Amino acid sequence: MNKHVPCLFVVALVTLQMSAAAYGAGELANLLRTESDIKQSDLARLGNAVLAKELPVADRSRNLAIIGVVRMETTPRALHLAAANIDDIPQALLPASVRNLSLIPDPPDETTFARLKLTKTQQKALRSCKLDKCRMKLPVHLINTLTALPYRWPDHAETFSRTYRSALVDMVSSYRERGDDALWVYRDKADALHAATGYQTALQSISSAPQLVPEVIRYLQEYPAPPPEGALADFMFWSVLDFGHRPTLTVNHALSIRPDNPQLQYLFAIKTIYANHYFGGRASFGALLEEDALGVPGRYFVLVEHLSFDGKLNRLLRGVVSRGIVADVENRLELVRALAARAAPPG
Amino acid sequence: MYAGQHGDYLWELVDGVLVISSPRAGVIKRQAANNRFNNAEQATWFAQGQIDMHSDELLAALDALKKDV
Repeated sequence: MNKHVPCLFVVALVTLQMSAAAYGAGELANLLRTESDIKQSDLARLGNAVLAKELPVADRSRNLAIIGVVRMETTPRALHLAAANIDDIPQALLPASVRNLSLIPDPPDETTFARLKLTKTQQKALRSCKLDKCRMKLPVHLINTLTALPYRWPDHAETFSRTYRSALVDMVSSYRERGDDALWVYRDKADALHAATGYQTALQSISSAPQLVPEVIRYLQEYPAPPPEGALADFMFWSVLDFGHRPTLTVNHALSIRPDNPQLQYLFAIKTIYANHYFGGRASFGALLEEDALGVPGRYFVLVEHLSFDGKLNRLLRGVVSRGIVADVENRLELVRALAARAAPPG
Repeated sequence: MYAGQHGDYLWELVDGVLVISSPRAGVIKRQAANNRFNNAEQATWFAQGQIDMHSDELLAALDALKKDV
């Protein structure tokens, strides 16, 4: 069975909030040139390396944006085939920061999150969860359910984990039917936060980001609306990412599209609808640009990631998370390149 | 209407429905395709992606059909 993969989505999301009809390579090149300190000379020297850097954001204590770029001699079709096989990525190809990556079937069932293994710390967090004071991001109904569960040794860990996994399945099922209205309102802290609001905040985190691919962003916000023209794969997946502090579960909605635009040859967007730590919202975009689009020879894949935190992060923790996510973006760019090469070997 | 072959499967996109079949076993799966396509390339990639993403399900259905024969 083919195992190309998916990470495109997970991996490659370029946060291009781009501008209307003319979105494309020009806006990306501008983003690289004006907002990150990635220069054309950096690209010219890039070779087979990857490069990821932070973009300036309005409030550094609450937001983070990363842009990454890699040169890859691939085709949009190879990227698409890799993305369509997200559930088949060999473990050996996954970077260390990606502990798990699983497709969510439609409809989801009780086995969907079976591979989700909670750490002892997370099990303890579930067990001790209280309204407005929980070490995992949860809605009030789940906090109440967990609080009411009997604490029986030695089965408590599995009981709490099973309840959590079941709630995730219910949330995903409801999201497929009702979109953002079904997403959770986090009540782990005194300031309640709706996951859809967190996503919106993440999208707006770049101070002067161009409005990229508006039809894609609109679709993800208005889901279940009809998909935009040229949409190819529309799916959900979950992953566990390790940024160097706490492994973080994310549940995501991904869309890949073959735009009717020669500048932008392939694009995928990821909307994180749930993260159990750190993120109030997360939006990622990945794009394969036309040849020489960035003003230097070659074809480049650009990945943009926007994150909004669920509260203010102190400088120390933000530094840890930021470094971890920059490294993660670089890892995912490497993975995208490897998967694309695997899906359609050069020559 | 768009049609093609991907791996062991044939596919057709007709009136918003993707039909995946096997040359030997016949129709294996039908699913709604609300996507709007501007050209054959987009339709082809969509169909190929659906076949890849549902490969396990298609294989199981194919096995079941073969046993029935």
